[in-house]
Amino acid sequence: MGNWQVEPLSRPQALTKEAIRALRHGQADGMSRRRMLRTSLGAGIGLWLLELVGGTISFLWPNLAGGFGGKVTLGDIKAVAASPAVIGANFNTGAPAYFQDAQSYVVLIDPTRYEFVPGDSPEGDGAATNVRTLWQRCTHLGCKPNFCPKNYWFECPCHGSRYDRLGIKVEQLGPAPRSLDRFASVVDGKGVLTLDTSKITLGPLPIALGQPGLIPPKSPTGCI
Amino acid sequence: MSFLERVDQGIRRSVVFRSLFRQPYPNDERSRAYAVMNNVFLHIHPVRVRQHAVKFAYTFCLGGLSFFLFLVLTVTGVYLMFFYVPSATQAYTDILQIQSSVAFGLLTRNIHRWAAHLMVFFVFLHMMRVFYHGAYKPPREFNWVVGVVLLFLTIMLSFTGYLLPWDQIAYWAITIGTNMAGYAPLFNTPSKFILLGGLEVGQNTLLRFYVLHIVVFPLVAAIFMAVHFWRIRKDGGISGPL
Repeated sequence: MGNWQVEPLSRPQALTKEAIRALRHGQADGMSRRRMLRTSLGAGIGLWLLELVGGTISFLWPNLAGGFGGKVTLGDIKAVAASPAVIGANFNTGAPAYFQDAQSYVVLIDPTRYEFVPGDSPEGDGAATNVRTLWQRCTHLGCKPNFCPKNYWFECPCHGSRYDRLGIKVEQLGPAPRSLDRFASVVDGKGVLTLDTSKITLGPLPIALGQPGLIPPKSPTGCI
Repeated sequence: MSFLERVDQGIRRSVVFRSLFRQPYPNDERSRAYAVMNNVFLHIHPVRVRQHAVKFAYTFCLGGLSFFLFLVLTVTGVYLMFFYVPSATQAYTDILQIQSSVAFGLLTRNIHRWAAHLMVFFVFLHMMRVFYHGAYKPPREFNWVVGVVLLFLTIMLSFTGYLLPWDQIAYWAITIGTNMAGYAPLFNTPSKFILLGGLEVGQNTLLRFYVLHIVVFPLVAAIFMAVHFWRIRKDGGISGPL
């Protein structure tokens, strides 16, 4: 049996003067008007505070577009070659270019082919596009390895980790646990290189000197 | 009545004078109480102070000294703001300029620096004093919590100010400090990101810390201080010896 059969609490009554006075002084059934207004005001203020907090956080949220942490357009091969890591060590000889805004070394995989091949390199190894984009951060403690134009290696000034010009860590030399990390990159139809510095692929494990996969130094002595 | 006396009376009876000074000169107990009660700056303080509370060796005036240092820091901070630009390329040279080519610049910066160190120290000593006197016990437990918030604000003011010279020690101190935020539970990476305004300490971080240092934290601290002082009176003045 549903409770639709329950008798109503009070019968409707004519709104005489006495009835209105009695209603005004009596206890309200259920929620009083004062209580309802107060509750809705409180809920409104609560909602407003919530919006304020959400809005403040999104207002203060940093926008990394165009800088480190977002996508950075470096330009075509001529523009990249115009920003060498070391003056005198030319990009077309296999030496890296350097971009401070992107915290990135850019290096040709095969310097005999002086071109960026249009394509996508989501893992950052650059086999398809002929260009590799390395993060400047030594995988040991985060110093910036410098490019040495004598032996064409990267040498970390802090603890002597050595990497070849493509960022592969030399097994015996230095404490770094892996090769330099790589940024995802895209070469568009016009040959313009764009990095995505929010997509980092960890570098592969070190390779011992003399083994395939590691470019030997150009000279027996380096810069450090 | 001489001429000077007549001028004096004329001023005292003027509408402007009487609207500024509502009571006669306070020279008895009642009018002195009124003078404190009816002044917006003084009314936060109790009208009457117990005799033990003014004994220097009981409180060593540590809370008052902390507040005094806060005022010194506010004034010297405003002076320094005239010559400091929170820009990654300019901030460090601005500091050097303040020290070398601004009249009393070195003095102002050193007062700001020493007062900052001392404020952290005095706030800490004040907390120790309150703890050893058991002055955190009810009904003063709420004020103890307000005091803990003020301690946190003091430390945050000190921390945000540390970055502003933009030298090596500042850079690495903030790198370490914000890395600690990265280990907080639940909101570690976002809170570090929003604090730095990026992935590492940079121009955004400098500007964010500057705004926090000169506006947000002092304002919040001032509000909490007003509550803190007012609560002392509401809880029956400075706690007595146990």
